[in-house]
Amino acid sequence: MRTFNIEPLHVPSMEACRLRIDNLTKPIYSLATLETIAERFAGILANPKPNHLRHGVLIVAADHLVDGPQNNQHGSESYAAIKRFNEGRTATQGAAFKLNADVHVVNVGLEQDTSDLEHIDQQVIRKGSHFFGVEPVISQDELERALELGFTYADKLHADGLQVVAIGNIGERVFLDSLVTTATITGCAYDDILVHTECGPTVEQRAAHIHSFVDRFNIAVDDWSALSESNRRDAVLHLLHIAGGLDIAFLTGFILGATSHRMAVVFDNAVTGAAVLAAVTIEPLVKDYVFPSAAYEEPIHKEQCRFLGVKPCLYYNLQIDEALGSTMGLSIIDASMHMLNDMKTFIEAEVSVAEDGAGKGRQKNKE
Amino acid sequence: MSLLQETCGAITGRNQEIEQHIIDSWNAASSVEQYGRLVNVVAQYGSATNQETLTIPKPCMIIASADHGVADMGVSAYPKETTVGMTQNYLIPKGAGANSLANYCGAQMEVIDMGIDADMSWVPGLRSHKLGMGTKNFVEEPAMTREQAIEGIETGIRLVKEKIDEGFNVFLVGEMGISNTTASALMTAKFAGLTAEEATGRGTNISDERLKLKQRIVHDVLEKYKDIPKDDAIGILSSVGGFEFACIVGVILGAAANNGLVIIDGFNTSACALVAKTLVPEVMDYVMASHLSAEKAAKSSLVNLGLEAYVDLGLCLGEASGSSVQMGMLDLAVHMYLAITGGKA
Repeated sequence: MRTFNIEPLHVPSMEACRLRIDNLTKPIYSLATLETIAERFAGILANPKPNHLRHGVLIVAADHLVDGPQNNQHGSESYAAIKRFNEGRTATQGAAFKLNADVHVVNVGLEQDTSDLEHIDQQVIRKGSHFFGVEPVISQDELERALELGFTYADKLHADGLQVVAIGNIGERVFLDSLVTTATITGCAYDDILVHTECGPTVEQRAAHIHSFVDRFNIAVDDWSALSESNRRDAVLHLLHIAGGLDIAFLTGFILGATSHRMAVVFDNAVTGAAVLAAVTIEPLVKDYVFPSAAYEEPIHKEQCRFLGVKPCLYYNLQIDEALGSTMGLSIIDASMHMLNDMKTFIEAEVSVAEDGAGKGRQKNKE
Repeated sequence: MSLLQETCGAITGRNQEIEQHIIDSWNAASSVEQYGRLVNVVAQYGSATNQETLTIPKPCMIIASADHGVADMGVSAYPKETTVGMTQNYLIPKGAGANSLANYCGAQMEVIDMGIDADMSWVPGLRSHKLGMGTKNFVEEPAMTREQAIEGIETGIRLVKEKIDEGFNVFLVGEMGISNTTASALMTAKFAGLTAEEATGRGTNISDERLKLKQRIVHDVLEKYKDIPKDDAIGILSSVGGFEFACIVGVILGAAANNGLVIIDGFNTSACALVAKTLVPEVMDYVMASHLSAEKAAKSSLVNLGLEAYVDLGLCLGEASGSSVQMGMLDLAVHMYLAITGGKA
């Protein structure tokens, strides 16, 4: 994996931004998450009053477990999904159009051939990743190529002038690799993030079944915080090699590359969340650059948010991937920028400040 | 027949055929289960506004301002003149949260003085229908008469009808009035059967000391008006409500009667929706939730309306801030529907 450097958020810009926010004509802290988003963007962009953010959407496509026993679709669902993107007929593209955000779709590992789809970036590393019951999901070489491709896309979108990117995925059978990646990083039990079903094996049985395949690869880490930086990085890369997949590896590289360019990243579901976990484990400073968006009922996503200490803000019972949730998250960031730039301070608007509570003393009247 | 009676009589359920058509069209293009509540949001919008061919929403933000007699008892973190200051802020510097979020979602703003305790004739663009120079202090006497409450409601009905005739079809409702969360705590407590402690939150982020005072006031006023039953919507509004709340009740009823969709905001506008719902339950077909306000009893309020929030940003401002964010999401959702089904934005 290439070397990279991620800077901490620029504290003086954040402090100046927060002081202005606290003096805007509203009760102090009353716009809550919109305020903290603005403050963090001030730190990300080293600008106390960022505005007119240039944003885009990046979707990576890869199928998982292509040689596993549950591959009945053989890429047909993924192909149908990516074909809709090629035709411009997706919800994500509808939302992105409204937000004036370009949508980039890159095939790194779908099982079916997509070379006939002219609006899709063709960067196939392998036609689907393995089932780890057979062998590691991707080879070391494929891992390196996927990571480097992610970095390359970060360079490209940075060169295009983007400052915030919503990430997403398309692919079949994505949850198992997301589950193992997530559980290995957060330390939770597989049972805790498997979905209970009415019939069939219990979660305990299913968890034991997963362990029977994956434990031989020695991916477990007792205490991530006890590892050195290089050992932590190596452990994450080993995890992605065994149980990550082309999309999670690509997105991990992308997130590391994007944040090294001071670009913010909006994630949504289990796959993008798994990549965020991987990136944050390699470099904890990444956490300051990533934003949640939509809430998903499925337990892998909930565990990811719990571990990261983040709270999604959009409750639409979404199940779809395709960066729909994260694209909606771009709009929330937009709202935050309007708050920061369109509101006036108490002095500017000639309005009386708080006489009580947390605003008293912090909000300034005209002399 | 009064305008209020006529409006209430005109409210019927939203168009179920259009609603089903939207769901079926979406499902034919791409299975609706994946999109969750986005489908409901679009379907409600289309059916409430009675559109057989869906168009991009045309939103109007209506902010009603008024003063409250209880403000003299020091229940807010801000002085009473802040109502004047913020109302002129909406129209002169245009630097309030409402302005910024109206810009965000592309909503036109209308601001109406329903009873600010000051001469506001110097503020350009401010509509005026003062019901009084602030309500009476409900600790001592009812906030307003029943006639004033009805007049306030009818003002809201006329306002929203005027905007519907101009082509607006989605209404984001907000309010401004120092100490008005004391009134909405009382209204919510009456409709939802809450105690003073359950219903009373920090409003403008008041200190612990002021919160205790506010809760005591709410407790005492609930006791004073305990004989007003929860199905007497006008009785509750007139005894413990606000002039701006009356207007918003009217906006909600008027929109429902004229195929407009209302996106309510937080705690205060939820209290207004409780009044509207008590008058005409069918009105809820035309009311969309937005965010979960951080105000203490906000969730109870939504539950009593039969609604669930879509957005949770911890907001506690009012001024249609939460409804603006939901308007942004509705706009995206309509664009999604059009993209999926091959319609044009």
